[in-house]
Amino acid sequence: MAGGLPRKKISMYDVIIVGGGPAGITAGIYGMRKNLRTLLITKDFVGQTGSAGIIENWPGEKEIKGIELMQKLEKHLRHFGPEIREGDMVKKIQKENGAFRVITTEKEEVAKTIIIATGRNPRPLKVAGEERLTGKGVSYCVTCDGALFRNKKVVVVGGGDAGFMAALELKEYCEKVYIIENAPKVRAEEISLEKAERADNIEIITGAKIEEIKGDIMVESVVYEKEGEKKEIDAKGVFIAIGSIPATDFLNEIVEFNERGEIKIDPWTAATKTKGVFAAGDVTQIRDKQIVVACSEGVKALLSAYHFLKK
Amino acid sequence: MDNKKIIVYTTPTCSYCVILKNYLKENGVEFEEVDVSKDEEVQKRMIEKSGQMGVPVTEINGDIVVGFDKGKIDEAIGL
Repeated sequence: MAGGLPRKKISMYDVIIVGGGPAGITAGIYGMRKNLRTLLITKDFVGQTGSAGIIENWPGEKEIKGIELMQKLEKHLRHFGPEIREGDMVKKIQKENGAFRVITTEKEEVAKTIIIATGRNPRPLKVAGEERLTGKGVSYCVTCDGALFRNKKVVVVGGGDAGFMAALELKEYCEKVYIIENAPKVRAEEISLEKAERADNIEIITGAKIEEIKGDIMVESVVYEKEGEKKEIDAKGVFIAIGSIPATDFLNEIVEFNERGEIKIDPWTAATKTKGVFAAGDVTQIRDKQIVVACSEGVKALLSAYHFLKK
Repeated sequence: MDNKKIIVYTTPTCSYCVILKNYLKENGVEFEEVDVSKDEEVQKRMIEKSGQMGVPVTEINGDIVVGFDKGKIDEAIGL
């Protein structure tokens, strides 16, 4: 820089954690306990866990609302005082002189190690009308939007466990719930299937492919095709429950992915293919997508980052 | 922060509603909460005003903010 002005000092973090779900939060707690200079960047502290209804398998709580659990976790994290950037999103991570530059919507940061814990997003159906009518009758979250469809007809797309859980919640207050499944058979747990079959306002339609979600301003109907025949259901709401995809849009060649688009990690250390970059929780190929597992994966990733830094 | 009339449209299960309400409370902002799942008329009004069907919706002196959008809420309330 000309004129001998002091260069802008860039402060380097020991670790930047991307994601504020159970994996990222737990990594953050351990980062502070290991005295690492820690920054956690997250859109919010809701995610999949915060959007879940009741959680019954978190040790220490017989049952707890997803959002309550997330608030407890967030509070615990804040208690240790890491730097937290909420409401921001990471756009890119670049390797640079043995460290990593993290570019977000708002600014840029540099860290010696990175932990990616961005979790998963709902899988879109990719049919006409879906994107345009999202938030206008199309939803991916019954806990969030279900209650707006009281006394209305709704369609649940997806005949797996998530679809049935959604339908069983919606049946309590909706006039009618249609479950539409592409495959010839539904794949839900027996207990949910029985409950759905007993309900007089749930209709299960299998071997049906959604073709279009219609509506000028709000959702008005759903068009599907079954056995070569086109049918239309009058419905004000469409809940899409066909699984999720790992949230990895911002990642480039610093990590490798498996055939499902999940980040490949070494199961012993949570290390990715790039030294200094670790990944944890549902965004990785780890088999069990569970909150408790995500937390422990977050710890694993952080401790591996710690050992890496001490080397 | 002057005395602005703030209405928060919610449903009992929506996660972002909880976060939004806590945020307003933490900042000492007074607001009126309306559960749209119980009142179809109010629900209709919220949908008309916001042009969409998601909650939470915050109405600040007639201005509408959809979702928990901290930036927009801060701006509209003057936090």
